[in-house]
Amino acid sequence: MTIRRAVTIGMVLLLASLCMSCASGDDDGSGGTADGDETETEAVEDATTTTAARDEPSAAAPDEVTPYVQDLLARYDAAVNEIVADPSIAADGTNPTVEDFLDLFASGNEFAAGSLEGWTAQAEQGVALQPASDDRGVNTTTLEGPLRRVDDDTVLFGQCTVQSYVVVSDGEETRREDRKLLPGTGQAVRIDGRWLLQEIVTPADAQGCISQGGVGGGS
Amino acid sequence: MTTGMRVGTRTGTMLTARTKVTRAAVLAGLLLGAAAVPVSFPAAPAAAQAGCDNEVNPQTCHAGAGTPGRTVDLSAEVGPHVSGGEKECISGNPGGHWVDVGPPFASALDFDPGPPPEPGAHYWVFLCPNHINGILNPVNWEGGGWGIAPPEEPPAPEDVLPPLWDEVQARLHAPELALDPPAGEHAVVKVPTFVGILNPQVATRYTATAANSAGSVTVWIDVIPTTTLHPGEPDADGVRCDEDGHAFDDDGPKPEVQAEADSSCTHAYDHVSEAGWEGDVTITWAVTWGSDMGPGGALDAAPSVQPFTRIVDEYSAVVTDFD
Repeated sequence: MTIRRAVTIGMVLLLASLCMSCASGDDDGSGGTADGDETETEAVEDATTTTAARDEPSAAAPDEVTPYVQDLLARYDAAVNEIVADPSIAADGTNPTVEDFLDLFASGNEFAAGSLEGWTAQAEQGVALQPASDDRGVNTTTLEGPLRRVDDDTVLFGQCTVQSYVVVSDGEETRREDRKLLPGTGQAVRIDGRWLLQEIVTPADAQGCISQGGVGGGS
Repeated sequence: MTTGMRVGTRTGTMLTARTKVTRAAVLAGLLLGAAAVPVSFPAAPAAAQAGCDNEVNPQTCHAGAGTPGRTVDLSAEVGPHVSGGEKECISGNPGGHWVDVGPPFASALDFDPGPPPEPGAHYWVFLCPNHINGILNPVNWEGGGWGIAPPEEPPAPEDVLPPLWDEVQARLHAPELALDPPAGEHAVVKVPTFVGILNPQVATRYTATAANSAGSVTVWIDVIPTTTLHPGEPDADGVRCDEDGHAFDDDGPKPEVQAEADSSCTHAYDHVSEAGWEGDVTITWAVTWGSDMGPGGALDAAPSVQPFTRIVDEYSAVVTDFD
């Protein structure tokens, strides 16, 4: 997983600086960067890792599911940010980042497949998206409001996607978007005891999130 | 002493606010005489938005079981409940009010308001008391314009959203169920039961436009229902339902065949219950809103639930005529 790998790599580098002979663990050098507060992400990671052996909580108490959905969204952002930077990898199902992305969804999920098709088309057009600044990822998705239970294995949620990116076409910067706010909804499902993303929806004509300070947004 | 500064209103129109103690004090003494006649002021520019604009992952624009395919315009219902926004002092201080300064006094302004655009028009300035702008000023001018009556403010999204949301919530109904076997009759273990929904509710975009002489705003609320059958017996998973559920076709094949062809809103009970299992059909609403002036977000709607009771027998009754 991308975030897990990023955290692991960070820890490996720290250990390596202390003791070169102790370095071990994930040797995949392609680790991406997780957006947002890495410490927070790591905490969620720890929380979810320790419960991985047993079923994740049902939506009977939606608040208990919230950290799992937040973790899914953080991993979604991490994967998306890597893929849009080099969308040519979207067509390669064996690419670790693509595997990370697909791991967020149930097998055969239409949203995941459609997303990859879209990025493949972007690659064919020579378009990539780079972060507009060092401190913000291209795509950051946060929950808006509490989860709403559909049944014990399904939740709906409000979400706000914040996007800051530079459009690079055939190697040339062509356009820049700074803090574009897209409100919408999402759905997560619990399959075989694991919470997975089902879809993220951006309604037509929607722009601006209350939690982010309106259209212009606050920083 | 005069200080000019540029301020923005929510319409995006730029007005010149001026701080002028002596002249404003004189103007503040003038009495208002407003007539209910339309005035001509710049309309609010509509934000340029069209379609879904997620360039990072366009798939989110197509996702959804539930992207609304139906639009319902509730402007007629909502419009009467929306008044134009009220102009407020930039400082947030109460007591701001319009003052009629002309034409006789318009020439006393320290800027040229130009000629009246129509006969009988007056020049209005908005006075804000106790405005703090680095120093405490008795009054501050915050905008002005020609008109027969004080300028209106265009309606804001937050003026339209509450009455629109009230109208929308009144349209979110609990499902009306058609059970098969019918309510009161006994189902049989392992034989599929069916739940039809008589008042199907589909994903819908509700819109309302409110307008006055200063501009207009359109607000929409997208409602995406997810319908689930909860059979009520222990360990039974929820079953997804189409918006109209799944009515049993009396002229069709056996229940097992119909359920296998379309499992929507069907359930075969595993356990007997003489008292009946307490099930329900629940519609959960995913609701988002937006406007052509920008702000938007998610709204919280309580699920709509219709309970039912299913009596389940081990065997179907066989009527035998002994005569």
